[in-house]
Amino acid sequence: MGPEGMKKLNSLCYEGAHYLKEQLLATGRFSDPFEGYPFLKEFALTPMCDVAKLQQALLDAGFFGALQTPEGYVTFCVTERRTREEIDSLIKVIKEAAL
Amino acid sequence: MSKIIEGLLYSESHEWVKVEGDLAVIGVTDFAQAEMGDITYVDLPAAGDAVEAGEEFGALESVKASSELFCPVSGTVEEVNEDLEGAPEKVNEDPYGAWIIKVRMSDPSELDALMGPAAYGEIAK
Amino acid sequence: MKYYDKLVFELSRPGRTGYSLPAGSLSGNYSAPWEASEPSAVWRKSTLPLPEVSEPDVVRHYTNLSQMNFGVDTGFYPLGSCTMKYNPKINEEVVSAFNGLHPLQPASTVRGARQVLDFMDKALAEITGMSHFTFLPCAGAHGELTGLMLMKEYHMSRGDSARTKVIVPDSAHGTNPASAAVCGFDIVVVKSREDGLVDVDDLRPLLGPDIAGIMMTNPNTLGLFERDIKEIASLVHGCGGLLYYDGANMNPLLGVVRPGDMGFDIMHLNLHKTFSTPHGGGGPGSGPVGVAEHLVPLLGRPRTSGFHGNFGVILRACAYILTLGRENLLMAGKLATLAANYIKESLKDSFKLPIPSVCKHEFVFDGLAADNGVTTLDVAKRLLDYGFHAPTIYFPLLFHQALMIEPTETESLETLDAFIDVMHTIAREAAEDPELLHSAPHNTPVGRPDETAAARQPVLKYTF
Repeated sequence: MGPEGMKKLNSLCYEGAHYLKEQLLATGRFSDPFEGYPFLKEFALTPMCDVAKLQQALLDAGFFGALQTPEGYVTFCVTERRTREEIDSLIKVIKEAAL
Repeated sequence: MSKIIEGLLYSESHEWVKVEGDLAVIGVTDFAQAEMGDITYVDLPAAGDAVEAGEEFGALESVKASSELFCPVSGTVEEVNEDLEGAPEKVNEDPYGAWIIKVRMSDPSELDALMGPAAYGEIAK
Repeated sequence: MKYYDKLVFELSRPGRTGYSLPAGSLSGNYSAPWEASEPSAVWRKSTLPLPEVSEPDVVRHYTNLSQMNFGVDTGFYPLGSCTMKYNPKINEEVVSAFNGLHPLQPASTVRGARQVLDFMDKALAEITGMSHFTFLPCAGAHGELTGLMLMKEYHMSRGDSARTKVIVPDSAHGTNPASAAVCGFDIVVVKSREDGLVDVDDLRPLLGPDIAGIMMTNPNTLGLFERDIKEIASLVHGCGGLLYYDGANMNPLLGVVRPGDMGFDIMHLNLHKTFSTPHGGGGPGSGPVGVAEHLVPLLGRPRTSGFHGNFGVILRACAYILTLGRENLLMAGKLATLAANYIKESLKDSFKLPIPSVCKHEFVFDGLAADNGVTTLDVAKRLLDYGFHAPTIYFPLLFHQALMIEPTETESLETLDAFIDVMHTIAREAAEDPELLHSAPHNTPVGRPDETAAARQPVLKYTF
């Protein structure tokens, strides 16, 4: 990857993860317990919906996400392999699911 | 035939002891260094450590193996040979000159259990 | 093998790239803060000291490095105690079919993986005569430690805290007493007889209420079957101790006899030895631990989970067992034993055979038959000139010029005969031209490195 490649790769992770987080908050199904804290490609949110139904809805649509931590947060991670279209698709699933 | 020095006492595990009053100066024999091959590291105790006769007090590492050092006497470590940290090869080059530790003996009668040069010569062929 | 000693950093040129990343359509509002120029307590400012190389550079570099190595895919590798059998490539195909699994996936989405673990539990139980296995340990010694911890827990859970000692034969592999020491046990050594087997008379006085158990390998490190094992089991159980089986030498037993039937209570297997998974020069391996029925509760529940050992290795072993099938698996041990005895009998005139009895999958020579100053090390180095990897040298410690040969069952008769011919040639060279052997190898990229200098003055870092 080299120094520039690693930077570029992490830029892609950063951009995707920050876009996803903003879109997830906009669905109204989550709140931000760590507002203002910097993050790279993974983040935790407080779910304001049924987590089991959320995970199942995601799984049915082919997404593996919203892993729960012992404290009850749900976590997401975006790597450089995820496209904007995939992120938009995930958001759509959450908006349309009965949670 | 390995080199054996008069005036020293020997243990079955190939350590030598030079007695200076109640101080036991301890190293390993020519036989031991030849068996080990080129020594790459000497694992030393610290001054002030307690030692027991027959118990492990350190180790010699070579390319071939790692070998424990067994203390011939009980007591307190008075001094360790710090030269060996940077120059472990001294044990190979001069096994009777390159002492490893000096022990203030708590029970000099333990020396009676050690061998003289002739008896050691029998096991260090 | 071809000499190549470049570091990838020496191939680096500023601005050269070996990657191709998507353009990314989200920059703008979401730009990474390290692109900006403000100082930050969090984000890195300095550039990573990584090499800048193109993809062809990388491919050639690692291919050239690989050609400096001798592996099982290069040629015959009779390393005693390691069971360097061929690694079937179908195992790799099977592994790639499971790519993309995440250890934290819900159980309902990894039923196939769980079936693999269940199958392996049943298969290994049947092969070894144990009741159940745990697949957590990632290596042989890791399995030993796990097994010893189970041994300790067994005694402690019964309120017996006096069992502080573990017995180990003087022929044992070094990891046995090391694992026991790490587990907090004191080590007691039992001697071997002239015929290489554990001396039962030396064992009896060692037994008592302070013995947690005995660790044994069968066949032992000399490749000899411990014929008194049932008596040893009875004696150790009789004093309240357990028997631990080091599975490193399991290969010749496959389909012939089972550690569980010998009386062992706990054991580990080396999947990277007996079950054809790759030897990684330190990993990744897998050392599943099996227990007899009365110890199964100690394994805990659940017996499978995410992050459960080296799954990729377990998967390869599963593919191996399924590929061979019952009949062929039963042949493996017998063929390995036959190959070892064939080599032993063919070479015993040129080399010293300290224990002339029938061996199992491996045997030990004690150097050349003729005493002319040519050492086992010299023989090992000269073998490389002829395209063979050396056998294990200077282990077990019982023989000063030990040369331990284990051919395994995956070599053709031609290969075995070629090895035998070369060993005879080397014995002749030792008599006619010993200097040739003292300075061997001559045909390899690297000769004899100065190991002492390397140990005393290691160069462990590269300065940019």
